[in-house]
Amino acid sequence: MMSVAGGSGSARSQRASDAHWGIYIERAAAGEQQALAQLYDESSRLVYSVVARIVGDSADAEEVTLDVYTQVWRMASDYRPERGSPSTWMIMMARSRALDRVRSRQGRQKRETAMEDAGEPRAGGDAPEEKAWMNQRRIKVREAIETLAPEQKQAIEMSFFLGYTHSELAEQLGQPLGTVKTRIRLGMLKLRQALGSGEEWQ
Amino acid sequence: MERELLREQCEAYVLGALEGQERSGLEARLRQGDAEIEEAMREANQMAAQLAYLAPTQEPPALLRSKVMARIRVEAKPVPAPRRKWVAPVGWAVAAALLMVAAVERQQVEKLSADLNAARGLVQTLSEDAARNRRVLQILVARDSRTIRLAGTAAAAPEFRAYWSHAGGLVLVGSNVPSPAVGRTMQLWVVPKQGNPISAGLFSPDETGKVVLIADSVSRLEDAAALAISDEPAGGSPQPTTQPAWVGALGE
Repeated sequence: MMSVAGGSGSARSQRASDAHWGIYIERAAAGEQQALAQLYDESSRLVYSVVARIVGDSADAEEVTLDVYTQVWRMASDYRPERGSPSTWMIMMARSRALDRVRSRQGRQKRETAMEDAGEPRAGGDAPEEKAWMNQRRIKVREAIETLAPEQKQAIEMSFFLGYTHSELAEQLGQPLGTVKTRIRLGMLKLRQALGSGEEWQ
Repeated sequence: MERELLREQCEAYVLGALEGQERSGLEARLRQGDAEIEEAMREANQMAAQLAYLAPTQEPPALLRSKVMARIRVEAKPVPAPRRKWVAPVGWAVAAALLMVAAVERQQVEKLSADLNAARGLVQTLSEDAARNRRVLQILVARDSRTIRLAGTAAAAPEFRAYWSHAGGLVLVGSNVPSPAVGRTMQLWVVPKQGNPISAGLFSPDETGKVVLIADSVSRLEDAAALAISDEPAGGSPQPTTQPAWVGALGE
């Protein structure tokens, strides 16, 4: 059985952390509950933050996060590293479940409220013991998004955190469909240029 | 050009923005196991996941971890539902089949009963956890709450923190704490300004290296000079038998 020192090393890179998370998932797939505990300890702040941003309600955020880790436990054996890094797998799973929750309790109004309530990232919100790599990644992504035109940033954030389709965005923003598509396309292109290729994050 | 378009479509797809024919066309190619599209989708997912870092940082509720682990414990041993076999409805075969069904039913009842007992145990554990967490919280938020940091005497040893309030008492908290050797335990001591150390409790870290010890035997710290932790034989010692591995001065 593989052995992993849990949670130490603030200088650990995201790549290294993803490697650790991958091992935790592998061990969880073998039924090791401690591995899931370690994965929770290292990833729950990120997962909970994105879920809370989407659902906009702490009780729902707690329940959805609980569901996410239950799903990680159940689906650990289905995880395929070649399809994406562990953090990508977990983040996209968390986003998907959170959007499902918002859609089920509906409606759009609630989604918009969640977006408005979430506001801007809170300065000083990072706990001191937060992994250094996670903090660095957060700073880098926030810097990258600020290089986008405001309307590109808005379209991408609404799409990611509210789950809007192109048509819904066009309707919400009162813009032609083509304009909205272009905003997302150019915004994502700029983000890619600012953040580098996906390979560097694994 | 085609590659760039594909990349853009995949990015819109993983964001959930793509719709209509563009979406169905992409999904059709995915179903065909197109390697190029799988690669583009993987990169798009990786890219989109970065947007999660735009969410304001929020600390998960303190009890959420216990809830996750409690649910995992319940799910840890999935038992497949018993499969009933069809038996020809003649003579002894019918009787044998009925006996078999009865046996399966009995197994199910026993299984349900065991599950119920496990659930009762879980509720009890959660209640105890909740009571303990309330007590710790009470100490942490008390108006007179003070923090005592216990530094390790060995290099790279994690720091312990003790919190004290007159009304709530003393609680010791640590994380990433290495487990003591087999047959050994950790012992917390109140070191008085004069006289011998007084034991304040035994503990070992949990499976994730966390320690939360409520030292019920400590009712006052006014006469204490320091808190200390030493490695002792299982069952503890009346007086420390090793040099302290962590020490925290109380000051004035």
